[in-house]
Amino acid sequence: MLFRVARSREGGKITHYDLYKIQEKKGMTILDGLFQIQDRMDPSLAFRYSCRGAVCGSCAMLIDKEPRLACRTQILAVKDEALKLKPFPPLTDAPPGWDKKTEILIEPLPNLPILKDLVVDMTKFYKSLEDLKLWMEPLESKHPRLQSPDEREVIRRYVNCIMCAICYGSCPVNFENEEYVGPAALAKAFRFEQDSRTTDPERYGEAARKSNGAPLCDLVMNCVKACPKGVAPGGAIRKLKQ
Amino acid sequence: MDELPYKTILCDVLIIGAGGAGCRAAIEASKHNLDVIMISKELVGKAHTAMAEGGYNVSLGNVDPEDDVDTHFKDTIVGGNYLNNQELVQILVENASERIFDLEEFGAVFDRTPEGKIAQRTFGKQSWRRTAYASDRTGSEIMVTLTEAIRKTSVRVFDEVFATRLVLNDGKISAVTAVDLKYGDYILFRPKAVVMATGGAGRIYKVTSNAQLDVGDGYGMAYEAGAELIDMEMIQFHPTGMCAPKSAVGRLVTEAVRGEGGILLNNKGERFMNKYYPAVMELAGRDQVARSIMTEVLEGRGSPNGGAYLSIAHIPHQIIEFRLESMIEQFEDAGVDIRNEPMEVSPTAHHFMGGIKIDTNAQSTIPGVFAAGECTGGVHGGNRLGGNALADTQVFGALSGENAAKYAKTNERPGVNRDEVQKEFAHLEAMLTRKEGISPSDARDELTTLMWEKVQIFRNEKDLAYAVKELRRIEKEVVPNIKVDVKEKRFNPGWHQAMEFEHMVKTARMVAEAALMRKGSRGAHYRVDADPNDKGYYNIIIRKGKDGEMELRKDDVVVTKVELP
Repeated sequence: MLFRVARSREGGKITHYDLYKIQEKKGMTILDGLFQIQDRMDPSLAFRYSCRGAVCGSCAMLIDKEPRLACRTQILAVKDEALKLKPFPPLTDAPPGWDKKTEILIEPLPNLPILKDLVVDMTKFYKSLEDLKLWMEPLESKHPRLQSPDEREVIRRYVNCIMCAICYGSCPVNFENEEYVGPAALAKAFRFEQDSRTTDPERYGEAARKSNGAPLCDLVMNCVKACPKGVAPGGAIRKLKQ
Repeated sequence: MDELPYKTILCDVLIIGAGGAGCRAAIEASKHNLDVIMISKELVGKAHTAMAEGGYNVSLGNVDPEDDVDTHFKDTIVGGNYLNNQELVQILVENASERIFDLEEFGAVFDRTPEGKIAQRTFGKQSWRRTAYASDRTGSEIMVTLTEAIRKTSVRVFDEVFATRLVLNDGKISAVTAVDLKYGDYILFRPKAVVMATGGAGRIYKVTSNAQLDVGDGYGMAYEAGAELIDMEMIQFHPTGMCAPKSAVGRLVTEAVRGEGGILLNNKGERFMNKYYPAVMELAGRDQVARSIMTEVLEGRGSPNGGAYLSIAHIPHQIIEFRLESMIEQFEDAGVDIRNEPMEVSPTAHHFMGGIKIDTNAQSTIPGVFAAGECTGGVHGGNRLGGNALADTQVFGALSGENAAKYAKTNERPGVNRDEVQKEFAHLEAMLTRKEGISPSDARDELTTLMWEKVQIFRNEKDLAYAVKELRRIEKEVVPNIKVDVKEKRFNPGWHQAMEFEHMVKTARMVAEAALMRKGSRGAHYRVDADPNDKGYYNIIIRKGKDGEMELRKDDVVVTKVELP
């Protein structure tokens, strides 16, 4: 299998693509392929990774024009799986010469500035969390708060978020509008609002409904389709909008 | 040679590492109106803590009201084969409950009992159901929560910054050299106090459950600075890592699978734990289960990929789906439906019980250098109980942060020896400018294979002596000749690996030298040629001697309540 990998030495924009031949085996992931390039062919290729197992969310990238975790994407299955996302330019503008049948195209996650090769600057993504003040207000108590299993169930899927920014990279609104805080931050705001232990639930909803938040969402639902952890931010945003 | 430019950054407390212990230390230190900086080799929130699956041990008694602090203490000592520092264990078990309530206050979402309390489950070698959990993604829940809590504080976070060396002045901490991996700049941090929270070093082994960056930076830096380290021979091999596919080899299969009733079978379909530990079966100590699996494999009763079968097919699907959701996903990626098919598992290098020796203030033997979490030694003795590591990160994270803050308030900032700083940066620069040498990825392959083959679960004199000899050679011949092919400094993975490699070699050498010194079997250290006269109730302390050579000595175990057998 051939990998066509986007390169950007100085960051900012993709300057060219390099082609590598990967010795693939059954069960091998895109991340394994990238290791093969780094270890045996081109030690200059930069990409982020850590856990190898869809827990840390470091290795989000655009694989065959779909935002995915490299560690969870099987090389042999890429061509058969489609997320069926609503198209917007980074998902449709293909580099010249890309042979879709024989090459897997690997590019940095869209909607965030490129720092080098497949590494993007996550500052904007994290800043949304800070702007919306997405943290709990602790009670000074030496005792635990109670939460029934049913109450926990309400936020169950939202706490699975691993902050990989795939939703951010899959969202056409994030592409068009620099201001938009993005799906992950809104889903997290919803998670705090709905948490039975929260002392001031209104503040999360209010923050999420500001003009750069939920009102900008067009309910495209790319985030729901692309999320590797089943968080479904779009569902949360729909509820926040109501 | 021209002086290399670097940035100097002043602060009160510098936390090195941003996993469970580092974040908790930073939060605590920031409560003291100080300038606190936390640096992380990778993006904050991605640390290996997130990969802890099973849970957090705390004697809340929410499920089994009979449980208490003393029983947790005793289980930890017995589980640790009596090598634990009992003063540190006391701190662990006494503070585990307040620290889990902190997590709850920060917003962590644990699984619940029907009454709404934090749920607790069975883990190996514990008298009661004690392990609090969030499905099988407890570490991830804790990591996400701490990251949120950090955002609320005044802590300055520097991510993708790699610390390389502790610089002392008159025996006290005075500075830390670092490289900004994003931009390739050299940085000199000048804190008054430092907290080491650098995690473990599973990556010195070819097969490991650990994340890519767990290479033992903290062990290497502390040793080089002259700190004492303890119990470095004690490596926990988790009995159940994935055997296939290749890309996933070593990945953790949580103990919760066995806690929830999973059984181990050999290729004849026999439940072999019956032969080795009939009383506790699959919930024997991690070292015991790991050796049982390997014995089956070595005697020809292993699975096709050299492991055993772990089956939960007899457990109702609903329970599996609720309590082991990540395991379903993890094996789905490998084409196995664990609700109906057995998992194939074999041991994987998992946890370092040993590490930087700390006192009851979480201070190392270097004034001003504190430490917490897996990079420390003494809490877990010869074998760590599943669930005690997450508790360790929170209890000692908070303790180290608090004491580092106190130290920073009462001590002046020492001067720094600029020559030593320049020498370190020149040394890092040379990896890029060297014309001839060895590539870091080749060097790493050699090291991890050596450790996996010679300093493994079943140890013997000949293998250990060979490993020690080889590691001394690698330290002398390979380390000074590491050459990075790509000269670019920004995000240069080869350079990063080259810097890590030094720490890996020092760490590996400490493990092998201590293992060679310990002639009997004790805890995770199992010698097939064990000297029956060496009962092993001592700790091995390592430090760099005045002559620059590695010094090892035996020391008495710190005992407070539970007498040695």
